[in-house]
Amino acid sequence: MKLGSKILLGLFFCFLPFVSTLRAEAPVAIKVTAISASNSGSDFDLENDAFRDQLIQLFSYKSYKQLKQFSVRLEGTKSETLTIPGGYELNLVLKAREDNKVRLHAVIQKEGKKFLDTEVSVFGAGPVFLGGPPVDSGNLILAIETLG
Amino acid sequence: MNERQDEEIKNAFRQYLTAEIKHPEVEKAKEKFIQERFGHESLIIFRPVFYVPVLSALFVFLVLFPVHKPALKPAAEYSLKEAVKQAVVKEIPVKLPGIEINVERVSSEIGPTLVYQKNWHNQPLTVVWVFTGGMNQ
Repeated sequence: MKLGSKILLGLFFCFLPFVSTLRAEAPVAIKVTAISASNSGSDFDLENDAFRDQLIQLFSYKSYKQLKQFSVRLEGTKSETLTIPGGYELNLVLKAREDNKVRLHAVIQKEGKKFLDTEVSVFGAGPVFLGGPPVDSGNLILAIETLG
Repeated sequence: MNERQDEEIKNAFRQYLTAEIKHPEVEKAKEKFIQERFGHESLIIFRPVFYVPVLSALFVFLVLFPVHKPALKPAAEYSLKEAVKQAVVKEIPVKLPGIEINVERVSSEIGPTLVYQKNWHNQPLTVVWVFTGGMNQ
């Protein structure tokens, strides 16, 4: 192998880690749906019908009511804060992006207390549900999806 | 031949025959003959006189005290509520067969957390849940 080829190959491996960093900094559109789940009533008040079957598969509540829906663009290490009904805040930070998978740092907090602090991977087709904090007469569920 | 001589001859034959039978060469020849002709003697555990009663006793024991295996439900089939009932509350993700773990870490300042994942129509559904002290749960 010639010296020039060796240098080029060395430079390629030197810059390889930065390629993934650049990909991670590409903006990602995220949709967050805030849902109140309870056992009072039997209403399904959701815009996204796909959630209905998924929620039935995962939970045993009788009623699901959509509280609010958000669309945010996450970029670099910038944090996005969403105001969730019930006095909660959801902080989202993009950690990494690879193909169809986006890794997020998500924190649900209220009055300075971290109700949930997690790092999750979200696939395009499969939402991640964060939940548990009390809201109204039920529990808060946040469905987090990527929008491509 | 008188009676005394007759007794001496008998003793001499007895001693000769006894010495002949107990001679090492004769013993070796006898063992060699037995092995060549009839083979090695099988161990007692391989004889019907041993294993038939033992197997019978084992059969009777298994009939009287059958071994019950607990019927395990596949982990991926548990619903969140079932998992909660069984107090499967963990700080680290629960590894389920055939499902890639989507949760790197989870913590809470309020209560215990649960990570639950399920494959549904080839979609990985993930739940990260915090228990806030029984309120509404």
